[in-house]
Amino acid sequence: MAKILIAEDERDIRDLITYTLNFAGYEVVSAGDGEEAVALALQEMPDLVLLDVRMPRMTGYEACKAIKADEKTKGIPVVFLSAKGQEAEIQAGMQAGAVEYLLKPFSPDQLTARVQAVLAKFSKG
Amino acid sequence: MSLGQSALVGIGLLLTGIVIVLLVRASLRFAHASNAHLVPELEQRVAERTAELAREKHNTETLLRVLGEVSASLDLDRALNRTLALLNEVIGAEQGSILLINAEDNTIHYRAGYGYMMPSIVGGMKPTALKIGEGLAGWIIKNRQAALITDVRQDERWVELPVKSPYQRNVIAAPLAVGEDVIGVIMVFHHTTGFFTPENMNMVQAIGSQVAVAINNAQLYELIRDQAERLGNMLRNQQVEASRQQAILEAVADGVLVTDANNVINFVNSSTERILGLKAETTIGQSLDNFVGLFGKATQTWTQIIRAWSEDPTSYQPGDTYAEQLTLENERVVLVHLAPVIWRSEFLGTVSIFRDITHEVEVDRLKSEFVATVSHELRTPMTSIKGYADLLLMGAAGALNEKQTHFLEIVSSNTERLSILVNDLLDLSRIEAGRVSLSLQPLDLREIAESAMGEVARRSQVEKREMDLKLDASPDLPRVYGDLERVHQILNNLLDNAYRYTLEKGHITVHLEKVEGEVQVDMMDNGVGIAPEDQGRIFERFFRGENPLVLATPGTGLGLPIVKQLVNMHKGRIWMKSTGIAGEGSTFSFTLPLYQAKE
Repeated sequence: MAKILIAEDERDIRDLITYTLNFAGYEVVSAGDGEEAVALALQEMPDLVLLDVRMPRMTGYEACKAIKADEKTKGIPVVFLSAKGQEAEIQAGMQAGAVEYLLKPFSPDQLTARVQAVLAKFSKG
Repeated sequence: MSLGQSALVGIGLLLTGIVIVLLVRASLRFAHASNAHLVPELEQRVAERTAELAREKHNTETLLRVLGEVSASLDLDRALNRTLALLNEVIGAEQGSILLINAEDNTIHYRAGYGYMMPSIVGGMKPTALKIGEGLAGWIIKNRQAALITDVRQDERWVELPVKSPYQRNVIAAPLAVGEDVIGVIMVFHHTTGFFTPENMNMVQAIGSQVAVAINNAQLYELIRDQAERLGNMLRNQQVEASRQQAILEAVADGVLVTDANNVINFVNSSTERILGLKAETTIGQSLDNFVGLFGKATQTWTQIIRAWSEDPTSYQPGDTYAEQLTLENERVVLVHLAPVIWRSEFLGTVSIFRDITHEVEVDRLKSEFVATVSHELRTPMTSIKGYADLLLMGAAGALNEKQTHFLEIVSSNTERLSILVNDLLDLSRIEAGRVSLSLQPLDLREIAESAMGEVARRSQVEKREMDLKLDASPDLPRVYGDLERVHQILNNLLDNAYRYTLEKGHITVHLEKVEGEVQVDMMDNGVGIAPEDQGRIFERFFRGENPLVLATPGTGLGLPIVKQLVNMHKGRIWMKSTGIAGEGSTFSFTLPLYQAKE
């Protein structure tokens, strides 16, 4: 069972993502901000990290860069899930090292499908 | 005369040098021989000679007075009348006239008169009926010679006035000649036939020459004075016009900066001083190059173009202008428009117009920021609503009954609608703010149309709403020049409208055809159509008309404005046709420019 780390400051949405991915059969570890996400990534070594962009203490971009900067975690694929959908924002996310940029609002089906596709592409081993 | 004297004169003709001596001797001999009867004769001759000399002296004096009169006075009419008065006095004439040729119609006009019953002619010309060659005056002008006529009534050249003048019998007429040109005639009259002598005629002729010169001078003077006055007026008018134009330029809220053909600033208005932070007195007369550093790097292109045009005016192509938004060192944002000043294909310099748009740019930035923030803030709660509704529908919280499923579907589809609205709003605001740039490439419209129609076909299957879709394109359709994603969006939006506003089992046909320099896309449906009164507003934001069938269908009223903006950005055209009758549908057409392969 693949393990997914999610970082989202809005509790309702964090829970929504957790339910959705649990329902699809994934193990979910969740963080409320960027700093916590970076720490949990190192501690839990998830198969995929799903990051919100706008978060307190550390933004999703910064968290993504930190994960990519660490030798141990740099191989973990990062996907952004954000309400910020302007070209410049998407570009900033991809430059930070993400493999995909998903836009809110999303449907649970859509999210599950994307997560599945990314995992298939970047599965360990 | 005695015989001896005649002989002496004969010798005198032969030997001038010696004659004088002989003459003196002969005279002495005569005086000696017949002294008594010669004395009165000599006395008489002396008296005659003295009178003659006195007359000549008088004539010379008259001439001098006339000369003084006509040359001293710049008032020609006064001088001419005065001359005639003097002349009449000297030779005893009763009337005198000066007639001049009018160059405009080659007729003879009265210019001055003296001794007439009517008031003397002062100023301007009074026409006679005579042309050059006609009448006595005309004859004088034509033949350039003076005439002394004993009695004009016996002279065939004389043209009698309707009322015969008793004063005009004996006439002297002389031409007024300046060099080769005869400009008129001077005439004096006396009622007694044979009153004037040839000597009088010489006098009139001499005065005529002086008068002619004076008239000529006066005419030259008038010409020069008129010309000076005209030039003066012209200069004054130009100064007034220039001041007025300068005042207008000063009053303009936009900055105006003018450089001459050598790249030197020769005008800045006060708005330029304000916008660029310059002082006119330290700017005018300086080369524009001296200020490049002051405005910062952003102005480099602007100054370079001015310099290029100044150095090589032929580098300018007709219609070349330059416009750029500059951010100056002082953080002001300025829109500059630059155009060359060309007059009769000569490069005179350049004129730059500056508009301070700092405030507008700030407002625009705030608006974009506001739209981005609002849409972000809307998306977050929408994510929760839609996400949880979908989660419930998926059965994540247990099985649902039919009613619960139906209600949740309504929640989900309306959230979807809200989401599209937010996306469209954001899209439109970005397009309108000019933040969307196209990545143009050659595109196969048929391929894009097929893909877009495939999506509609799938949707029609999913929604179990049958629709007859037809693509009609000529096989040799050339490629267009467009942005793949945006052209897709145009076709999607239009097809989406056609699908939504056409009843089940309707027809949608997409027709692609090459027209002049473009490919035209016509999208025909047999849906509800658009009422004629609504057609003018169909591309306005949020306009959806009042057709209940349309209003019952979810839509944002932003699809067509976005399509129109995108077509315009591609330099294409868009229009629509509809009878407004339900079932006859509508046809939306747009064009995209053909791709021109670069050589």
